[in-house]
Amino acid sequence: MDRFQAKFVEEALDNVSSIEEALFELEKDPENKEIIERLFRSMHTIKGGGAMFGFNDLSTFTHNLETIYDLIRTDKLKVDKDIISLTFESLDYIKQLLDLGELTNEEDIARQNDYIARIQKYFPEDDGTSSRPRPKLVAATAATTQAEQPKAAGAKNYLIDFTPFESLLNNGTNPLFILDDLTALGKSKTIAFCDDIKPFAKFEPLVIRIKWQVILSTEQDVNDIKDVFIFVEDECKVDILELPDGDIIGNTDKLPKMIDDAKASYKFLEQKDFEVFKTAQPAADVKKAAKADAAKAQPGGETKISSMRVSSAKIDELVNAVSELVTMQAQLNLFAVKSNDPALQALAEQMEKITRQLRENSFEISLIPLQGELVRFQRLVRDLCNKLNKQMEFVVEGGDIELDKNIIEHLTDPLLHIIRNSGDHGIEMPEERIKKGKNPKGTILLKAYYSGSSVIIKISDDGKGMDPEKILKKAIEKGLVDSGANMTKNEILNLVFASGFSTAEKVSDVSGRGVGMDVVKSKIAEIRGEVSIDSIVDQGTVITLELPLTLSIIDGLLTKVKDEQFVVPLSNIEKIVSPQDVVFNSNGTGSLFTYRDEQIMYIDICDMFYSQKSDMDKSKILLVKQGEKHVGLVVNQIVGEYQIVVKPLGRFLRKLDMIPGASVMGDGSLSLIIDTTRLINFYNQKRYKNQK
Amino acid sequence: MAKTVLIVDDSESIREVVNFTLQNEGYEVLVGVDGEDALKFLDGRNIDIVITDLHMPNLDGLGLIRKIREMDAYKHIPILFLTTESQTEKKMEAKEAGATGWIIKPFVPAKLLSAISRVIR
Repeated sequence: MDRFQAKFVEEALDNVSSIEEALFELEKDPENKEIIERLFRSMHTIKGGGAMFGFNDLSTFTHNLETIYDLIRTDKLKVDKDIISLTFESLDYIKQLLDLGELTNEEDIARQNDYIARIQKYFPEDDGTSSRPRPKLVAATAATTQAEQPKAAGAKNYLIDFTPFESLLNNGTNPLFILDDLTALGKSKTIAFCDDIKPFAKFEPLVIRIKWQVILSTEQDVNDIKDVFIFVEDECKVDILELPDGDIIGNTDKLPKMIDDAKASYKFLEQKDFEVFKTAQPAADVKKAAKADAAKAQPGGETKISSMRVSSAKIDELVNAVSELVTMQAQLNLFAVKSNDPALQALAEQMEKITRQLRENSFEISLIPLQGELVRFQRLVRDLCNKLNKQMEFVVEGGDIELDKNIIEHLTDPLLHIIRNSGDHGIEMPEERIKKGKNPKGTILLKAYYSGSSVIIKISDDGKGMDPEKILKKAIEKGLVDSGANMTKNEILNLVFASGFSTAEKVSDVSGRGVGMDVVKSKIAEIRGEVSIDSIVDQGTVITLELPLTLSIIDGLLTKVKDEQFVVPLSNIEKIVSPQDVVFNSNGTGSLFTYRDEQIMYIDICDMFYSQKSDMDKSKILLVKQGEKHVGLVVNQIVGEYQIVVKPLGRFLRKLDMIPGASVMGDGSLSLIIDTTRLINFYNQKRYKNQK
Repeated sequence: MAKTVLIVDDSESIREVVNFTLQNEGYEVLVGVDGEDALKFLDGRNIDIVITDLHMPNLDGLGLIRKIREMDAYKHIPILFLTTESQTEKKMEAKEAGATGWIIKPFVPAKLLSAISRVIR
């Protein structure tokens, strides 16, 4: 909804100026109905939109102002100088409200109440419809609150008589939908009484002559049943009767006969017909029911605010504060351990629990659904269809997935690029698709789902796919790989992410604008995500993005390499093994060891960063997953598990992508965060170059 | 086939929200800025449902509903109207003009969609 707020404000300001204009005219011509009508309409628009877009106070205020003009246009009030000046003043106030949004402090609310009181002086005494000024901070409007309906325990049985008036069909109502909605509430049996339908020769297609009875067993409230009929209240007769508890619908010995009899005699079943189903209720049940009633009565009148809107700046502040708190908490823990004071330690532990909870909550708050971004892709695909004369459909699954807003902000461009690629290069022209035996209309599917602590977004198309041979040839031409390189299909496909690679045979208006898939990869990498690609010729391409849920805090394993502290994200680590448990391959060139029958490459981080081989006997190996393989990272010491607040490294070190950030530890020392995937890639590239 | 919705409202922001919500749900959307403007879409083409505001310049919602009910092609299509009033008076008036149901502003997208699903599916 936020995205429309700005538009609303703009529009409301337009309305305010047209009201101003109309007021000047009205001053000269106070009896002119047309002007009053215009004024009323503009106010009405502000009021309606205000409530829609989270300006509830504006809406309440404008409602009062509008009421004056409603009185005027129905000749209950005469326009005078005072009203006009009050309206001018109100317009200035409306402008302020558009700026302020929701009123949060007592002062503003008091001022609003003053204004409203002044306006309401013009209302006739007996006017009960006008809304009173809002009492205090507890504003409860229809949009944000919802009365908690106490659910009745267990299913109840109802008999619903539904007799449409003959005219029901005139207003575009389909009674079958009503029956559908009704039966969707629970288990049901529907009896249709059709005897009144005229024989075919005299059939009147526009007149309804059927009535229904529904026996419904539902846990929903009676109001939910009434709600089904809300649009047709005056076009039919509906009776909702309570039936005895128990399994009436499943009854096979009495009910079928009752229904048959009712149909045969063309008479509605009656409440008393169902008394045969009444079983002697045990006393305990009665008591329980009474209790349930009492419980029902208690929270009845209260309304609960189920959601509220908060500016994103405030949330950022909260998240930052929580991040700092997490750091302080680490310090406190350290201090507590050192102090040897059990009471302090217990407190610190308690605090940690709460901090963790707070951290999780506050991060959940900053998540927003992906949905909001998706409409522009819909539009993109539509535009592509027109531009390229292709037929494509954009389908979304899992648009309600929520991601950190910072991630979503970074996600739009890469997604645009990927989808544009799919539409431009992936999906074939309709004729070509028909030749291949495909639906002439191609599909681009965006599917999002959670997987552990990350979110997976898959963009797949059913287009022509990518030919690994072509890609390899191109990569060799561009000097990205050796001509003799022995690569798996997967490795070849992933070459499209290498910089300087663009498979498009000719630069097209749509996608070949110098931005390649390498940019997608680096953009996704900025938000600590991963991109991979899979494709089958003539069947299509799937691009998979794996994204973290949040950016600012990670659970990490603190390790030491030489004397430096390094953090490895816990989610990357599959296992920690001791060098004693593995068999190092003595022969061969690379650094390999065998662990549980798997050949695993390992990287000695100390060797890599400090050119100094680790003392294997005193080290530990972290097994991390890289694609389908494992890679071992040798660190010298494992300190423990920490919540790490990620801080960026600053401008000069930003290019060092295997260390995406650093963190200040509890004792004030620094630790560097390792991006394992990047580190391994970097290592592989170096090794490859060395081999060359 | 995608259902076609004709939305009529003089407020641009409301139009945008409704349009956005419906397109996202896969509806084809036609947009009229007031009753008069909406008439140009009612040329016999397939329209599955009309959603209209009541207070509009030129031709208001009630007028539009009455006009639609006079057209053979659209005599029986569902018409929902948007209203800020929860009072029965306005609703009765619109229902008498031929409306099928209503949606009370302010509404959240889910409410809009559920109101639509009451009358077309």
